Amino acid sequence: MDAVTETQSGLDGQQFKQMVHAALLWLRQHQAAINALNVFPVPDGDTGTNMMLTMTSAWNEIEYLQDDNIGEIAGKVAYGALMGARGNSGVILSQIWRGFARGLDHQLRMDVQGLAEAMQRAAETAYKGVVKPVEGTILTVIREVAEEAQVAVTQTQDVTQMLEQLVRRAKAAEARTPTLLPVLRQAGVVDSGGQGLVVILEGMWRYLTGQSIEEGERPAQVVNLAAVEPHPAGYGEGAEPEFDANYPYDVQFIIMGEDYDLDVPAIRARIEVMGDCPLVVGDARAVKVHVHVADPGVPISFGAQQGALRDVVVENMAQQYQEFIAGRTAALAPASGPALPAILLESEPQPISVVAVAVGEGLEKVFRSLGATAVVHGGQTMNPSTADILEALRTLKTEKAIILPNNKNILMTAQQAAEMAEGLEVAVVPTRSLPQGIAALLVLDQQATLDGNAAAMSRAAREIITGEVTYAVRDVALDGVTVHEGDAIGLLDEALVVTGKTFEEVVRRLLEKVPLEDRELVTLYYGADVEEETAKALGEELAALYPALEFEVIAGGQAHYPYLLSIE
Amino acid sequence: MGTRVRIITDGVADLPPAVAASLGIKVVPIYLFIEGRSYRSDAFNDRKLLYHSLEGTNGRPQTAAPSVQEFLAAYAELADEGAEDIIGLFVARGLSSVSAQALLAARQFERARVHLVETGQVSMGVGLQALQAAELAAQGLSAAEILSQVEPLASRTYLMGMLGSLEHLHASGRVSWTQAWVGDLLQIKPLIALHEGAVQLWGRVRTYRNALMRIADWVREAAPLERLALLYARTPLDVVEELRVELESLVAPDRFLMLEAGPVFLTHIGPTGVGVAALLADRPELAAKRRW
Repeated sequence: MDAVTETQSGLDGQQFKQMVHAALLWLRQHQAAINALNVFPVPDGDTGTNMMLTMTSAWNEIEYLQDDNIGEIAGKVAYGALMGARGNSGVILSQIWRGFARGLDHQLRMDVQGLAEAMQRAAETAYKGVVKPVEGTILTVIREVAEEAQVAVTQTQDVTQMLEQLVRRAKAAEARTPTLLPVLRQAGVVDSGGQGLVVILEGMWRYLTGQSIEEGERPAQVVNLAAVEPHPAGYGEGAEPEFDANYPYDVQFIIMGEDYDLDVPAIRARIEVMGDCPLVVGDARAVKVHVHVADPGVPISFGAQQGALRDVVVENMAQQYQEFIAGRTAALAPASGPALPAILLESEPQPISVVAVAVGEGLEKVFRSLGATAVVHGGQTMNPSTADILEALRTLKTEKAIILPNNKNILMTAQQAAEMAEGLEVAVVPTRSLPQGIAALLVLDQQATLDGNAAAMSRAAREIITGEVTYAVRDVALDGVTVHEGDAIGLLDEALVVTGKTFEEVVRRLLEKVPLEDRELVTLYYGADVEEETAKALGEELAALYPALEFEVIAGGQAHYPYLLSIE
Repeated sequence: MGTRVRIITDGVADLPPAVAASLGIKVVPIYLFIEGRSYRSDAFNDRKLLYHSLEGTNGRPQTAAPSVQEFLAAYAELADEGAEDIIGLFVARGLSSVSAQALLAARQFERARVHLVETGQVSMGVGLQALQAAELAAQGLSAAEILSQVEPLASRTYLMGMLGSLEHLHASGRVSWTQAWVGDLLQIKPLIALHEGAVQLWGRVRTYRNALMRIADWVREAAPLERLALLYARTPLDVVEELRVELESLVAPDRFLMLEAGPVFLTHIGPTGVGVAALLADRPELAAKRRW
């Protein structure tokens, strides 16, 4: 392949499109190597696969576009990545593309200034997408790349040269991730999401220099896998969104532009820096704004400068939480005194729908039987995309919805889908396991507010202990537990605690590790590969062993995890 | 007893006999049919006898209201003791025919004025209102004065509890809602509420611990209280004790009762449940705060 010849004013949309394609192909080449960095030895959503699927969705948006306009193409890439984002790494990658595209907005071509601006915006947007940014992750890599771009832009006018410099810096930043994130250092690995970004940038640069990115090309060995050792339990990829007590006010309003003069991107840009969970949608005539802030006056006075305000709603989420705890909502006050919650008849329209992510026929049924309106198929090994969750949200007949991601690696995708669901008020309850999701769903109260429910459901989810029994996907030694590929292993709230020869033995040993005082009930969800008789016999044996506990055995039908335990 | 106003209730109220006797409350027993045999509810004031009789059965005896004749006899007994006015507080009209029988008898009775007050309750939800009325009568208030204070009690009386299962309530035919919300795959313990004659589900839990938390939270928020009764029925004793510790500081000691629910309650609610009957203090300014 020949090196791409840059025209005087930088790269056009078609050249950029080929760079994106190259990035995808190069990522595919490295997918397994990146997955291998996800060394916690459970069958889980892998970073390499998630980032590849996210990039595939981006590529699908532009594959047949003939546009020369790079701003247009970058915008489509961002949209595709956003819709296809899977896993926390995929979500952050989609934010990077979103910022990158914004930096190229209205640009026909990308020169070094354009690339520097795009990288700068990419880093900013990626950090904003995460409530508590964690250094030593993909965030560090994109930030250092953006910094390098600001230096490089003064040193060269050649985009290829500049990108080469950025790739070098990305690799250096990636190599330092273990020094920033103790969990990586302990495990002796680099961050997998950061590695994915290095590969993407490298793929783009290789295209510009005419280096092969064909299938079969030996992948560049960026990380010494021989040195890779396991990292401790409880480590999810990237950072996770969390409720932020620094932004207690939920502010919503609509700005009316009488003269069709509203500048949506400008409004969005301003609102986004004001607080948390920003949502700005609309057109030149009407813009809907939703944001969590410390001071509600800030977005409202800004909005009033843009146009006439309508439907202004300010809610104190901290207060709502308190109110919910007290089990009260204003709408229920009858004239005669205290009222009771209404009976929830099947035919009665319920104001809040629940979308749960679940895998396994039995578990999906449990979610439906407890009132989940939609179940998105996915979980441990196949993380659903933003678009998958959005599609479920669009089927709802209510204006309010709660998403139960039920997996730590689906939290950010759920958050992203929630922010993109137009015309729908959506809260994400950050459930990290299926048992947590069930515990949360049980306390859903159709009489309470959305935020109040989210707070109470989050609390209920944290009250239970989740046990997971699966098999090791590789040899590891961590937290004093040595396991070999194929061994049965047991985790308690994401921490590897026991290993054994059979899955049933692991269940028994798991329970020995749980502080069981104050616990009453253990629910055993057995997986698709477990015989009902085996599970029932195990339940009976445990009931005899722990007379103070009640055991319930349910067909979960989940793959990869022979047993899931809910200890409450 | 020289009081001219007397209080009458039925066996569903679950008033402990000694408490009823000390306030001169007349209790008309109702009937239970267990394995083809008929029993008066007061035969089971010792609950052990009840559980013994229920052993080997489906645990759901049928119940029947006292006859009009029995109500007439009860009214006559009170009139013989000098009553000029009789105030009747019975199980909720919509849930039982007891009130209808009592009313038929009242219309025929001429030796004293009989006033019926709708309680909207069962078990100690009725019992607490009867206690309140009897206390006013003991103070020597007139029937009109007592009625003006007792009639509003139904709106401030709540029965909040956890059912061991939904099975008994379903079989009783006293509620019309479906099981959908409770789900049928997992074992769920529904939290139910009874207020002004309506049975409602207000939560679902899987453990006693969560049930206790929810009930105690509800009582704390509903305070101040006029009276409170802790009800249980073959419930693990540590659970009952834990709830007692949570609740007893919320109401004056002489206004707090703890008792094992009676046969009628058990029939419709089923064993292993736990709950409270609460009579809230008359504090209109707190009505907004006490919303459910």
